[in-house]
Amino acid sequence: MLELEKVETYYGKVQALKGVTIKVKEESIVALLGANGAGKSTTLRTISGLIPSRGGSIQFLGERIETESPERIVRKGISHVPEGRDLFYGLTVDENLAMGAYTRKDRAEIERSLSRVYAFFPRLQDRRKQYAGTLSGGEQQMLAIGRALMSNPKLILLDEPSLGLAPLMVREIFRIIQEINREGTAILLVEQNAHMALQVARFGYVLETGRIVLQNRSELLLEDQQIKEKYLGTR
Amino acid sequence: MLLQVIVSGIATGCIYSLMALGLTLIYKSTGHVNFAQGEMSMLSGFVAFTMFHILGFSVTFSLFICLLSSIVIGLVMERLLVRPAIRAPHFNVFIITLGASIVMQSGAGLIWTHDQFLFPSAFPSETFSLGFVRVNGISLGIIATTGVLMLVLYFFFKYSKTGTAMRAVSESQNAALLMGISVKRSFALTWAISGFISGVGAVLIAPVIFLSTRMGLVVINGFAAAILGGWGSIPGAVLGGIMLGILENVAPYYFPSQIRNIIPFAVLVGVLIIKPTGIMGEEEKRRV
Amino acid sequence: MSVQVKGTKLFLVMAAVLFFISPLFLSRYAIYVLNLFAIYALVAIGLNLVMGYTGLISAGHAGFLAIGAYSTAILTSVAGWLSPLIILHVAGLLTGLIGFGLGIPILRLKGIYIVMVTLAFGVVITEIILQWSSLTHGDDGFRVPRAVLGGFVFDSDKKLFFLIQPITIVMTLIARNIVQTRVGRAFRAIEQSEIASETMGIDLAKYKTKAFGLSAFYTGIAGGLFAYAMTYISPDSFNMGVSIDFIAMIVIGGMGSILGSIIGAVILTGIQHALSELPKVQTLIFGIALIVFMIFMPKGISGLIMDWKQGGPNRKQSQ
Ligand SMILES: Nc1ncnc2c1ncn2[C@@H]1O[C@H](COP(=O)(O)OP(=O)(O)O)[C@@H](O)[C@H]1O
Ligand SMILES: [Mg+2]
Repeated sequence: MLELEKVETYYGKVQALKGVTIKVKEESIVALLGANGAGKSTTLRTISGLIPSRGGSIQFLGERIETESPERIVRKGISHVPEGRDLFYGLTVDENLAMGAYTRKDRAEIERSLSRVYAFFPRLQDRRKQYAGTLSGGEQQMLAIGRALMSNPKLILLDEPSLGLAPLMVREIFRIIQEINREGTAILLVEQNAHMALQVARFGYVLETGRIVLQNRSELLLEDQQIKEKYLGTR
Repeated sequence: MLLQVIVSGIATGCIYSLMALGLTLIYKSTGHVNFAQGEMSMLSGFVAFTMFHILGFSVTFSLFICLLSSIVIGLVMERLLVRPAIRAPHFNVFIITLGASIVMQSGAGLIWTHDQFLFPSAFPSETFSLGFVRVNGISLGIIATTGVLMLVLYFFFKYSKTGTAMRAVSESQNAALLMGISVKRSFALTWAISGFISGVGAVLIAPVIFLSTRMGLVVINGFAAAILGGWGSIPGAVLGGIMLGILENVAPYYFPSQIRNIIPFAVLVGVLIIKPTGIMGEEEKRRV
Repeated sequence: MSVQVKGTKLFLVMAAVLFFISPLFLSRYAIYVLNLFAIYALVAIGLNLVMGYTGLISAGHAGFLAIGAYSTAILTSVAGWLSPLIILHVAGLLTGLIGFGLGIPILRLKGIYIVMVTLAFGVVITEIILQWSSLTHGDDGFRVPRAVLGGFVFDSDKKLFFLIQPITIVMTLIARNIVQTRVGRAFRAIEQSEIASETMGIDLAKYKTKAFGLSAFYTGIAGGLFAYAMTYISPDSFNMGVSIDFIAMIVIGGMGSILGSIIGAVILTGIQHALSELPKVQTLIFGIALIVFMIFMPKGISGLIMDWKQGGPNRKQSQ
């Protein structure tokens, strides 16, 4: 459903992506791994249109989207949960979720998405009127995912959802990610926690300084000697 | 007697509140500081003046055009001056608005001279008795209009989808983009609203202090009010304005009358020494 | 290469000689304007030390100019036998001290607060001058006695030329030295990123205060020279608009550049005198210039010159 073909992205004169080719199939979870600074977040930002790409193509559901605005890309069905959550901290939980549905008009359907989010994250429902800035780290990550769900996406780009969370909370978040995927949403999952990511993903890519250096089925990557040394070694 | 001075102080303060509110809205949503907020007010005042005094339209219609033009001025400022510098540091935008204020003031001087002009009030000037106090109709009108405007703005930002989206933009432009919110449109709308507020300010203030190219200097009282209330806080801007107005009206009873001119500056320095975050000022909100 | 350097040096020497004999054949008015160029160049350098090198906006530098001017005027009238060099030093140090003092509360604050405090400072200073009329003659203004150095009376613009220009040149060279040394690098680091320079271990507070003090010192000396050159000063010579003119000077000339300060001061003072009949048009031009430069050439004229020098005709410079 999503195909990146030799995508190149620059920050000013510095090239961050040097021809990245990635495929995400319908209803799958794909892991994008790599060390800090490899270009994982940049890949996601390029897909969602926050940074323009300067080379290559991005196709989503058969349409070219590499020149579209973030707004159009959201409307087409891609939701991006940015690194470090990036919530509207001065808005309440409810307001954050309402903003997630900003591009949608049908009130009844928005209401249905809201119930779905609260079904996934009952803890958020208890804090509906609370400001996002007052939530715990885990709750903030839940809200970030919930906000992304509110646009009823076909594909979610998840940037390091486990960052800074306690192990128990990480497991909870990953359980919900799998659940969301089982209901039919594809997920492109960026993680430094490679072990965890490869356990839920079907396929994995490894990014190194802007290039894909390795790609394979998850169970094979988990066995891969290189991966073990570089990303799973200490675990 | 003192009570009466306080009421007229509140009326003056309402105008400062409007100035401070216009400044704060732009600051909160775009991070920019608009030094030309007072000149926007002055300019729309002169538009109205031209309408009824030179072109002979009715006062009501002229005041309506004044409000309309203030929105246009806000939009033009955003489109022509601020958007080209959108990637520039806030510092640059501040200097640009400073330049704009100079251009507007001296340009208006070239067109309409630097004289003072009478400006008709939208409200009756007779005095009403309200319990113990006798209040001027103009003061009452200023207070009522400001109050209504504040309420409308409150409900807009608190409950409307567009208003919430504007608050979202002020929280995080990146995240707002990811939600499909148009940050550009939100900025333009912010400037339009601030322009409108400056237009209301013109309609309210020009009859009291006369219309002149120096009217834009009221922006300094607006800054002082916003800082007194807590820079960046919307309730603070309103409260700071009213307090500054009262101070300005009451102080000459206790100090030599020249003091009035430097009150906003004295207040500024006082706040910064005692509590730089102002009355309603909050520490930066916790982020993660 | 060395021929070129020698050529440049020769040219500089000749220019300097020509400059210093120019009063012999220039008109009185031209000399007067040259003196003002120098005075405002000092102000612009001073302001640039704060704004250009630390990114703090000062909207009250006319206040420093006023302090320098009035302390020079008052000192000269009560102790006219003192060398103007001593008087100017006292005026400059006094102003610098006040700037340092102002820097202490300011350095904790950011952006808009600094603008407003400095603006308030400028207004309060003129208000004090206005009210303290026993010392300053208030609204009537102050007639500044002539400076006397060892029996030599500086009673014409031509003679003042030889007081003002050397001081300006020496102070410009000193400023150039300062910004090229460690302190200057620290100032620039502040401008680039407060957090980064904090982690680099630069004591921001200390440098900002120093910057303010130094800036005030420069402006104070300029104020003293201004008093001598004008022979009459009044609070109105130092209003808010003057502070804003100073900002326009360095924006147009170039933020963070000594050369830019001089260029900006010369251009704006030139326009002011060329259009002295049309003060309204003149402010209009300043305003437009502020906008145009900030949008299209935020590095000012000196930035253009640097780009042209570095880029050269057929060389693309990667930063
Ligand atoms: N806003 C930015 N401006 C300039 N360079 C950036 C920016 N964001 C990231 N980079 C650079 O791009 C490269 C990739 O960064 P990123 O995509 O954030 O890596 P990852 O998410 O894999 O840790 C890094 O070298 C980083 O320094
Ligand atoms: Mg990242």
